[in-house]
This record gives sequence, C-alpha cells and structure tokens, in this order.
Amino acid sequence: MNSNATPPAPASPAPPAPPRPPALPGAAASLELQPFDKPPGFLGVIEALLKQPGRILHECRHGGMKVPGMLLLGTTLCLAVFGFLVGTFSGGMQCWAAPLKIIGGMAAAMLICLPSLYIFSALGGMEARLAQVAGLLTTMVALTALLLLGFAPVVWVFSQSTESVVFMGFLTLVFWMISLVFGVRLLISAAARFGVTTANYVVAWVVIFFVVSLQMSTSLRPIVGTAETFLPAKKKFFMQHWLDEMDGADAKDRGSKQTGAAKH
Amino acid sequence: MGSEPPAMTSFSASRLMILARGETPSLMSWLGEASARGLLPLVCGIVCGCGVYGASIGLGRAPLMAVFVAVKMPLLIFLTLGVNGLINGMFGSLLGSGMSFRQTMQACLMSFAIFALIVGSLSPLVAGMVLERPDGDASDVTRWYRWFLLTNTAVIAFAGIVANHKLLRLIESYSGSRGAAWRTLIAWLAGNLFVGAQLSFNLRPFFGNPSLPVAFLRPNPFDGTFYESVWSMTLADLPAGAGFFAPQVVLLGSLAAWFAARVLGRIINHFSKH
Repeated sequence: MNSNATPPAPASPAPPAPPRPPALPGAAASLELQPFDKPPGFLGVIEALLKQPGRILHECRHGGMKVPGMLLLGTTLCLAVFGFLVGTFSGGMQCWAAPLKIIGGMAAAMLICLPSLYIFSALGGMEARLAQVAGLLTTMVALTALLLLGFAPVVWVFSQSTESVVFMGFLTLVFWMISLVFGVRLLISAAARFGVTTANYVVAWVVIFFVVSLQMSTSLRPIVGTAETFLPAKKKFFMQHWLDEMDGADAKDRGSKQTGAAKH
Repeated sequence: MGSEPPAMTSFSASRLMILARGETPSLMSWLGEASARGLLPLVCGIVCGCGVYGASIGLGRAPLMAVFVAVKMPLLIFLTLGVNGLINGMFGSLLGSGMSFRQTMQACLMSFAIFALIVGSLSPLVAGMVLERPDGDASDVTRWYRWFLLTNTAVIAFAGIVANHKLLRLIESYSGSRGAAWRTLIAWLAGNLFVGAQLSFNLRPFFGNPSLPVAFLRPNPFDGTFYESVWSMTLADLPAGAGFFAPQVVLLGSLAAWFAARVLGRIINHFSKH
C-alpha cells in the first residue's frame, strides 16, 4: 500500500512542515477534510462516501455521531443484500443465515480490531480519540460494504450457474478482497490526514484485520454452502478449513470422473 | 471545456456518426444530457449493429439461428451492463472519473455502441464468408470453419480495441487525468469481461455446434460457469498426474498477474505525470 504518507523532514526546526497528502488516486486525491454544505441525508452520506469521503472524515474528526450512525446503517443494509444474494446459492435457511453471519462477522471483526487500530494509529503518530478512530474504521468498513453491494448482482449471476461451493467461496473472497483494498486505501489516506506520519503501523493493522475477517468467515461457517447446524461444531483455523474444502472438492471430482469412466 | 459545445442533433444516425468520429465537445455535451433522448441513439446503435452482426454469425449454422443470435448479441451487452452497472458506477466515482452513475452507464453504452457500429459494418464481410462456405468435402468445411472463427475473433478484437480506445479518450477528457482514465477503464473492462464471459456462457450457443440442434438456449443454460468449464478443459488436457500441480500453477499465475498489474499501474502513473 501507500508508504508515501511520511512527511518530508523539515529543513529547519520551525515551522514544522504540514503532513503531505498521500499520493493516492481517486478518493484519496479528493480527500479534503471539509464540512457538508447542509446536513446530509442518508443518500447524501452514501454519495459522499464514494465521491467526497473527506466530508465524512470531517464529521468523524469533529465527533458527530449522525454520519457514523448512517454509515453503520448503510453498512448493515449493504451487507444484508450481499449476504442474501450469497445465501441464494444454497437457498433455504441460508437466505437469512448468510446475511446474518456476514453482518455479525463484520461487526465482530470491527469490535475485535478497534482497540488495535486505536493503539497502532497512535504509534504511527495519529492524535485522535477512540470515537474518532471508530469513525475511521466505520468509514472503511462502509466503503467495503458498499462495494460488496455493487458486486452483489455479479454474485447472483454466478450463484445461479454453479453448484461448486469452492468456486463460490473463492469468488466471494475475491470480491471481498477487492472491496477491502478500496476501504484500506481510504483508511490509509485518512490516517495521513489525521496526522499519521508513518503508514507502517496502519498497514500492520490492516493485515490483522484481514486475518481476523478471514477467521470470522471460518468461525461462522457455512456462509456459502449448507450444514446441519447453524454454527460449526468443530473449531478450525481458516487455512485448514480452506485446504479441507479444496481436498473435498478434489475428491468429489475424482469420484465423479471414476463413476463416469465406469459408466462408459 | 473553454468553448461552447456544438448543439447535439437528435437524429440517431447523426449522433452515432459524432460518436464514431469521437468529437469530444459534442460527446461531453451528450454525456451531460439527463434524458432518455440521449440514450436512444446508443440503444438503437447497439440493437442494430450487434443484431446484424449476430445474424451474420448465426447464418453460418442456419437461418433460424441467425434470428436467435441477432436477438442474443444485443441482449448480452445490455445484460452485462445491467449486472455491472452498480459496481462500474462505484469504480467510476472511486477511481476519479468524475462521472455519475448515469454518466458511467452512458459512457459504457457509448463504448458498446462504437463496438456495435464496427461489427455491424463488418457483418457483410462475415455474411459473405458464410455464403462462400464450401459444401461436400468435410476437410474443406473444417478449414472454412476455422477461418470463420478466426475472422470473427479478429473482428471482435479490433472492434473491442477501438471502442475501448475511444472510451479512454472520453474518460480522459471528462476527468482531466490520464491516470484516472486508465484506472477507470481497466476496472470497467475487467468487470465487463468477467461478467460478459459468464453471460455469454449462459446465453450460448452463438456460433452453433453443427452436431447439436438449433436452439435459442442450450437445455441447461445455468448449469456450470464459464470459468469452471475452462478449468475442467485445462485439467483434461494436462498429462496424467500433472493436475496435482494445477492449483500451484494458478497461484503462481495470480501472483504474476498481480505483479504485472503493479508494473502496469506504475507505468500508467509515470506517463500520466508527463
């Protein structure tokens, strides 16, 4: 990710150089912290998230609860729609279980990672209260969720075409990673605006959030596919779970090929 | 945008010619039009261009197939844009194109309309090939079929390159940034190719397998995905035992693609600064 957020060393002791804006494209380039012209509605906040995230960060910086509240509502709605369409792959109970698990998993990941973001951003030089850091995290997750909503029609097309749990799981994971990349870009450039002088700590936190999210998807399985119980009976690390799933798919393929050969 | 853009004519054919010539001021003014009148020429262009081209392709199999493919080609484009509309709009905003959701959709329609104009204009060539199809000797027919596929691949590739080049110029003019234009184009292109490949798999047949009956859709259009199909065909062609290494090859390929994307991004950023 961007490591250019480090400000240049000042040539003389005073005055200190202001933090240099990160050299990031798109949303980051337009990340000017400025207030909304008028009190924003729900759609105004969602639009600002895409086009002028600086306005949302300004609200977070100044401790307003209305905009983060709208972002949380938007995140819940976006993840609910995305989860429902993922759930249509299996149908039945998964139509409500998948959105519930995705929303719950994301909320748990946020709660688990909020303290570390607070500390890591402070290590990076950010001067912010916990509420402001929570606002930053909410903004990042909201953008991720919004992009997942954008991918939802694509997920639906594939969910109606394949029966492979591994393929659907892989596809969902790829879309989640693409969305998270945009969320992380916003977080890193926002952190630079909030005074972070070195992005390394925030990047390290991103890795932690990434691993926690992946583990949540395993702890709350199945999100894609079906099972006899709502939550898994056996605890697993996510890497182990994925390897088991891929081995299962391979064995199934081999079995179907052997059956096909026997029929011929 | 210093000067006043020329007034847009409402006649569809004239507008399509403006689109083909890539007259930037007029196209910018067109993008600013928030009415159905701005979309009509594009929809007409896609329906006519892709319809005629689809009919030419389908004619290679049977006259009824020509009708089916004439319907399915424009349908494929509209479905692809419909499925990707939301994410394309979001990428457009996030990557700095400066376009709204409606403008994103309209810009993509413009690109597909240019594609349709090109393939439509080349459809007599394809129809001529169909009419010149040899009959009798199986090897002659097979050779002709290979040339037919190759010609169509070249036609589609050429039209795709030109359409995307024009779209790039349009985004660049709108955003004022070459880097933003490239990033947006690549994101849109990747999404449209990814979904378009799957939808074309769902809507098959297009060329029509001579050994299968003529049909609008296969009996199982939603059975399987394009990517699973490619994967299983790749595994089937590998020597015995080599399939074990396929996941590793995919992982290495993904890493190589990621590295290539990073290098491409740096090159784009470098040139966008100059």
